[in-house]
Amino acid sequence: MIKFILNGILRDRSRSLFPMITVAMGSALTVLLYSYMMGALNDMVFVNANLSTGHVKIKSHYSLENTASSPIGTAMTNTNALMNQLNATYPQLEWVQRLSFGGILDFPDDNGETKFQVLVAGISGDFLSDDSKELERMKIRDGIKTGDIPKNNGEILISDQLAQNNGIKVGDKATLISSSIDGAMVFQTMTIAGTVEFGIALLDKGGAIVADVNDIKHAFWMDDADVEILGFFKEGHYGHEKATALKKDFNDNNPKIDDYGPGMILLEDQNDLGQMLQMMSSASYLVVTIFLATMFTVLWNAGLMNGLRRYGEMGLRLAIGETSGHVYVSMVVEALGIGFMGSIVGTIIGLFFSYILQEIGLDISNSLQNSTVFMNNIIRASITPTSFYIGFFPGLLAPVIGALLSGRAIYKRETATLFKELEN
Amino acid sequence: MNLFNRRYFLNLWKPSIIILMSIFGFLTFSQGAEYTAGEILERLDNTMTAETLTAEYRMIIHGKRNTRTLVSMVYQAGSDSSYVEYTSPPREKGTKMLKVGDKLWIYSPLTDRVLQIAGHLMRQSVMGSDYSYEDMTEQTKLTDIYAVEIIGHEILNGSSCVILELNGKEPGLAYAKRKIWVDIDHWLAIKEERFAKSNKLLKISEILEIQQVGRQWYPKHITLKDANMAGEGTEIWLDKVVLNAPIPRHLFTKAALRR
Repeated sequence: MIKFILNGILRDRSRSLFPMITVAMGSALTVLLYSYMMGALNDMVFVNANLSTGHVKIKSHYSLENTASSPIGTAMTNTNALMNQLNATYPQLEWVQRLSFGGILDFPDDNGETKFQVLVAGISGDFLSDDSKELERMKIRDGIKTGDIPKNNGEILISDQLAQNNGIKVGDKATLISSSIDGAMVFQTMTIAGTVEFGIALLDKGGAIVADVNDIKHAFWMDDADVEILGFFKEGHYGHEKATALKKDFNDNNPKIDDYGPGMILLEDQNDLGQMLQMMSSASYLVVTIFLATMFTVLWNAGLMNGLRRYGEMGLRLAIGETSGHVYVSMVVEALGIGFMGSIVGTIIGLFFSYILQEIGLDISNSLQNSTVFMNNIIRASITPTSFYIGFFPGLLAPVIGALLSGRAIYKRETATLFKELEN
Repeated sequence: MNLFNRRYFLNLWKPSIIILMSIFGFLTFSQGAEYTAGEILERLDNTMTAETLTAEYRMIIHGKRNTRTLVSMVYQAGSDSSYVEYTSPPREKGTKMLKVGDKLWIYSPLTDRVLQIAGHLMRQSVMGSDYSYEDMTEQTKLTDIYAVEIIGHEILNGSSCVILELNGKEPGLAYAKRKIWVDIDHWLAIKEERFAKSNKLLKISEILEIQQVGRQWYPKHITLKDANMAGEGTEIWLDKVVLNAPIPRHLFTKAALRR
């Protein structure tokens, strides 16, 4: 029977082509949509983790409880000892000090007086230690447009757009005006070592500066204080269970004594990343549900149309003695064959376009002009093992469901009237 | 019956004391009533805006984390020019501020730069205190920028006060509204509440101690609390105040900042 059905599918294109194209298109779209969604969400979590949240983050209790308050004023103190404790107790993570700050960059004229000032948002990390991975993690090395990465204390990078808009050149000096840990105004003169493009609208569109964290901490009177300490699992990826266990262990061992003592939070507790991670885990279900609902509606309809077109064939088969059940099963097997072939073709097409999207990406920088989240300007798809089967099984199932529903009409045919119908 | 029995004495004299206090209060307030709101504010302006002022002042900042004391010398000429030089602690020593007209420059010895402080930087805290640069450099006469009315009388810390309400005449003022308790015996604003346009209380200042400088009274111990800051407020002690002594004009130039 299988051979008979296969021959039917291959030789009678009008019977199989439309459902197969439908299944293939559906499968291809499912693979593409899933890979794109995973790519976008993965990218967002990855960028946020590397630039802002870490896999885990340690902040002062005051800062954890009052997120709206000034971050520098909420810094933890005695953090040199805390860093030693973290490295000794949790060696499975790499611990890094970070400091985000705002301020004004003041450029001098020939007399050393204010020529012009620009508002800046700064990020800082350990860029000068030999064993630090911060330049790679924050994608700074790859983003250098002119000049070089900071190699000495007192050197900073500024966003390429800021440099272009204000005619700032590599080697220029500027004074950062900002606030100290005590809220006092502080000044620190720095040299522009280079310009950088992050490929992240939030950082590139405004005036961003990148400085070594120890330079900034010293300027802000924070030699033994930190606003944030980030932890990254050395194996490279975030795991909910191990991060949760780590958080519990740290917070149990460091109970709140004062407002400026340390408390730990997870990646998923910050920047709505928990919601994103949840979306990632439910993305496959979402895509498959949409696909199945659409496909089986279309294929059910196609099955009904097919039933009308093959009304005579069904009647003849019933008239020559084939049972209704046998005809029904053969229709379902036929749908299974169409689903199988359509799914394979669709998965291949979907993977092909996903690969293109993974390599080239989609530039969404125009839609990110007013964005307030860390997100790459170019979103790429991500082909994961799930991409290989996410479109296949629904593609197999949809025509079968369609056939199961539309094929019920076979049981409504009256054997007594079949020959009369055939005579017409 | 012991005439000097305390209770008897008080019972006998209580009505008289009340009558005397009422007369004293009436006389005091009637002294305030001699003046219009505009005249009171003008006298207040005159007290606080000497021809020149030289003072050493200590600023004690009670932050949320710690308490710091800064010492500085202030030179002021009229309502237009002022020069401040920090002398202690070592971290702030040598920092200088110059205000001429509506422009403010700051010199930081660490950077050896003269930086102009403008725009929203003027609302930043001075050395982490409850004072903003705007507060520190405010020398415009209140009569020029506020419409004033008397809204009441009150005895505050033993001083008879007229309560003035000031409403800004022009937009963009740091404080759209102020409520000032003017001690009419010494012509000092012994308490002041400063409000935003939305009527939100921004800062409260109080003069806790006064001193006589020459013929006039001048604040000695002032407190200021920024309602939006977490600390316990900032105290200022004006230790050595000299009024109307000559100050070299070159002090009010940018060149003086680098010296």
